Amino acid sequence: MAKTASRLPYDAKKFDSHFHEPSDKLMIWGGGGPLRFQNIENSNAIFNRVEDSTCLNRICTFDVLTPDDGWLRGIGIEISEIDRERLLALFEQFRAEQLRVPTELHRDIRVKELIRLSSHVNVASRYRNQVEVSKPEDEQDHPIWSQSADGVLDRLEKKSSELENAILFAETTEFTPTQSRRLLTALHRYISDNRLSKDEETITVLGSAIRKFALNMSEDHFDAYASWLVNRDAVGVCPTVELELVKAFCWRCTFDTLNVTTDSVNQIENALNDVVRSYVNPRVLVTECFASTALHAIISLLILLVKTERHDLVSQNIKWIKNVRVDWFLELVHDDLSRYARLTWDIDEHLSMELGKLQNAFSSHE
Amino acid sequence: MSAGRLDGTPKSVHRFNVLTQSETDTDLMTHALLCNESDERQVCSDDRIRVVHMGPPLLTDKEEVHAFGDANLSDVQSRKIKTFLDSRMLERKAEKKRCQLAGTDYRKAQYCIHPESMKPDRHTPFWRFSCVGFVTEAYEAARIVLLDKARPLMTLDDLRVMFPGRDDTFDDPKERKRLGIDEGSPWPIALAGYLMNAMNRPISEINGPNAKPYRPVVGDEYFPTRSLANRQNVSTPGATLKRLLSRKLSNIRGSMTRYQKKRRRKPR
Repeated sequence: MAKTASRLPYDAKKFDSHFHEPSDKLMIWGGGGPLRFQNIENSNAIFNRVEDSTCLNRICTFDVLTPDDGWLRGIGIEISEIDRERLLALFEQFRAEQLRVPTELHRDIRVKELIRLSSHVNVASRYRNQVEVSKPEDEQDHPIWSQSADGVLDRLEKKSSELENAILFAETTEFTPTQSRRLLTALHRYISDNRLSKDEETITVLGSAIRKFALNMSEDHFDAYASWLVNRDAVGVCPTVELELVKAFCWRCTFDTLNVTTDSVNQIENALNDVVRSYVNPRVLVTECFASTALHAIISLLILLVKTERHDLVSQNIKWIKNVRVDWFLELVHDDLSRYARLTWDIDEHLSMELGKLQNAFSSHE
Repeated sequence: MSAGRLDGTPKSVHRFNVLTQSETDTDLMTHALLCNESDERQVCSDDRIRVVHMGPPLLTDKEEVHAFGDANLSDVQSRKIKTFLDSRMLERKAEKKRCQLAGTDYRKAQYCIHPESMKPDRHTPFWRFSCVGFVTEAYEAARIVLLDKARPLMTLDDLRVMFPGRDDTFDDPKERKRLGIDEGSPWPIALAGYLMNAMNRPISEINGPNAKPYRPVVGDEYFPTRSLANRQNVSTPGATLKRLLSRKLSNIRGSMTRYQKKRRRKPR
């Protein structure tokens, strides 16, 4: 008899399994989304046969307890050893087909589904009272945990080996306000630990973390955010990371409400000022991505000054930037101010009008 | 004119030229791209060109294309487009990594259909584009507005024709909502054919002080256009029949007129 284990609660809706053209298709489905079944290592799983189908021979549902995802429910087919081998060969063939021909080119939707499934199907067969599951080779896991905010948060907080993957998926996951607090804590830790990295893979993940953090942070996080722009000793922030920090902050200022005081933006303002003074220079602007970095830094700085009603500093900064006399760059600033003025209208009308006025300041060159 | 189909004769393409791909053996344009060749290049229809485009996902790639349009960009304008692209590059790498981890479904995270560009928010902290939106936004960075906002309206059935092979996406209400086409049908969708017809004008109308955005009409989803207003010598069976009939009709009218004149002159 297969071992059983105490049941953990599971989301019945999430793990709903259903049949589709049964018996002759030999398909196995279930678990976390349409037609997906997580690949499970036999040695790490405990299986529990739940019930047999009343209308189909040798079809059953079973629960499997996994270390990573708790209980999952799937559909199993009782087959002999010979049939099992034939099934595995069939799915190997489909996988080879998948590698050879991109799935998108198959016009028949059923063929497409079959090929897509073939990398995710497990064949369950009865063997000495123990249900075992085969794991396809060269599998590409579509992690089921990535489809839920809780699954992503779990991996972010435990700093598991999948931390960086979790950050990438977090970027496109929707979080509730409560979950957002946990998200920001985890992202803050990752960015602080890795912001000086020069490794390409880490920088890609950092970009995701920065964008997600910035668009979800409150004004209380601005000081911490400013510290990430500061170079430390002889080690500088990579230009690509710097661009993401400045760009994401610019988006935060324009695409969400902003409630700031002069004191609360002191550090971030200094950091942005430093970027503007360093990069608004004819030689530097045509190098790497510095034009984009400088552009976003200027927009962010002007927004902060407008929001804290320090119009004298606004004029001072505009004068300084225009004095550098890089006309194409001034046109970019003018156009971006115009664009952000349009985009902020439904969020902050006053800011939108102020940006419109600033745009005019950049359209007249001395 | 500054646009044309690619064929066996080499044509010059330059960096950031607008490129489009068509459905096999038709003039229906289904995808828009930007040329990413660093230098001018002579290309034919079978050549693979370096491009950057919203696949989805956002990709730098090598592709065969079927039409090209040149707006005669200045160095400054090219620099501005490059600045726009620089901002997108790390977002592109993150999406590519997600696609590798999760399978090709994730390629759609950066993609939308209407409007053709969507601003970042808490849940999606990056710009989303359609393939056309990516090109038009890049050109707007260079102060070139290619398309007017007034466009022919498209229903969901029209979109199934314009975006072939995406029936499963259009059948999923959740996906349609993400793409911006769940409510408000029909929609003024920006199509790749419109872009190429926009490029098929004198340079002064595309780029410069007298430039104006192109207002597409029905039929402009094809290149060359099949619009009734803009069509010139398009030989389709319908057009040929129409020409024959109108010729016949005008002959009959001519005969009638001559008969009536004769009757008036002849005394009863």
